[in-house]
Amino acid sequence: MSSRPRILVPTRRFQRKDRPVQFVHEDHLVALMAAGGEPFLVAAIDGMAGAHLEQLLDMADGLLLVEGGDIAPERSGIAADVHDLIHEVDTAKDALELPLAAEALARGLPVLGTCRGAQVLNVVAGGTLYGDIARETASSVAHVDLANYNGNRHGLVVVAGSRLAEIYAAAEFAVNSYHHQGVRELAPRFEPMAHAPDGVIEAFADPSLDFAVGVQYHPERQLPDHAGHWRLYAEFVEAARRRRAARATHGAPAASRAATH
Amino acid sequence: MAPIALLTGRRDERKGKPIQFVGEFHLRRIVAGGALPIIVPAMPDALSGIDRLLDEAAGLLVMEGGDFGPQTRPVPANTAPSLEEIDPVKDALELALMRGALEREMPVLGICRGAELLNLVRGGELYVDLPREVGRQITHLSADDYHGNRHPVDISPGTPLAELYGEGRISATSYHHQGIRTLGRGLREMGHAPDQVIEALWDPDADFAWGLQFHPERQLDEHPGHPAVHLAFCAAMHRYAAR
Repeated sequence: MSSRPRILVPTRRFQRKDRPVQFVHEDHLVALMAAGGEPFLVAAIDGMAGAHLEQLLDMADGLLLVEGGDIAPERSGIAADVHDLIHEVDTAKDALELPLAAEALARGLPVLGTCRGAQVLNVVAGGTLYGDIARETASSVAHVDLANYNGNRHGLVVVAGSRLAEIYAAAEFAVNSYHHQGVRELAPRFEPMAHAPDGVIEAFADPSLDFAVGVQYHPERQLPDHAGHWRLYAEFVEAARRRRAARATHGAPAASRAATH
Repeated sequence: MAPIALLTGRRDERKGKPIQFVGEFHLRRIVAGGALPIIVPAMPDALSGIDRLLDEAAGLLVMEGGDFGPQTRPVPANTAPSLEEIDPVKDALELALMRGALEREMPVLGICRGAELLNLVRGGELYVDLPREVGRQITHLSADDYHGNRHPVDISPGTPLAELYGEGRISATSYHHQGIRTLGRGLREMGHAPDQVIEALWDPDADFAWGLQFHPERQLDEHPGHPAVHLAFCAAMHRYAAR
């Protein structure tokens, strides 16, 4: 019987053969599996979160939130004058992922957010987003290059002494970037771990939790670039393993939940 | 707690990179039936986790996909080149899931490729390529008309399918070039096309083990039987979970 830590990964909608499907890119799953995690996928469709949120979280030892369309503007606190640039809002995905993220943070369930996933973490913790970095800042950094989906890179400056500095053992590295929104005000519980050269926050963590990390970049798309990307997933899955072991000791579903009674 | 339905992902590419996906129509039907769909990615590492998942689950839904590879069953030499979209990882995962589900007497629903899988696991044989082996009297697959292709299916009286659809003939969505040639152990027919190809099968000794070669989830508003199929599966999952 497998005792690997189980990682919950919500999927995303796209049209295939003119019909909706729910998908996730394999590179996320490859990274989790290489770290010893056991990913399972849950569909971002209507009716999923309301009925099944607790059960999903009880099954999970960790939560991975990945890329997707923009969070609905009324949830992300963006300025009204950039609402015209919001696109690909998926209310079913918001309805699943925002409560999952909030409850994961409340329970202390290990959580990694990449790209949109980092934004989701920030929003549910009370932070705000840029609706569109290019319009709202004078940035000269290319955070998104539509024609160069996999290849676009920009530099990243790591906060000295942060967990990211430890994971990557580097003060700077280049990251794959594909987003037009971003963290404007970081939620109070998080501390920045890296910035782009324009000052945009590219990585953050909650220092009070075992593992609650958001990265605006795509470690899964550049695994061969830097050993730090692999270590990021390894640390996440290790935290999920600790979580699983603690559950086994204190009884399911979660020690933090029992403590509230 | 909602009963858990296990589904398997299928590989495709998006923006030049591999993805795992599931058609949303199936997922919606499972949620409509009060069950929780959990998707297992069809990737090599997933195999070692399935015993734990099966122990927690109350049902298995296996859906459409490519052809089963030659390692899963004998393939006549004259038909082998017609195999399409083989995914050995998906084959191995779904074979193990189906065996594990049947061993546990857990409800299973096979749609299209999933019906073929149920038959394979019970030792039944498949047509490798219907046009070559049966002929073209009935169009079981129209590459140009993925959503629209329909052919008649005659429902077998006295079967659970007849309870959902009534007896007689329905019009069924069809998109497959393989099919059931001989029924596996313990399986019976629930319906066939006018060319006698078996379109629906079940195990009368199981609470719920059905295979449908057609796609009720793609034609929900065409007959009251179509939306009832996944709901009947979910009802069986609720029974299983309450044991």
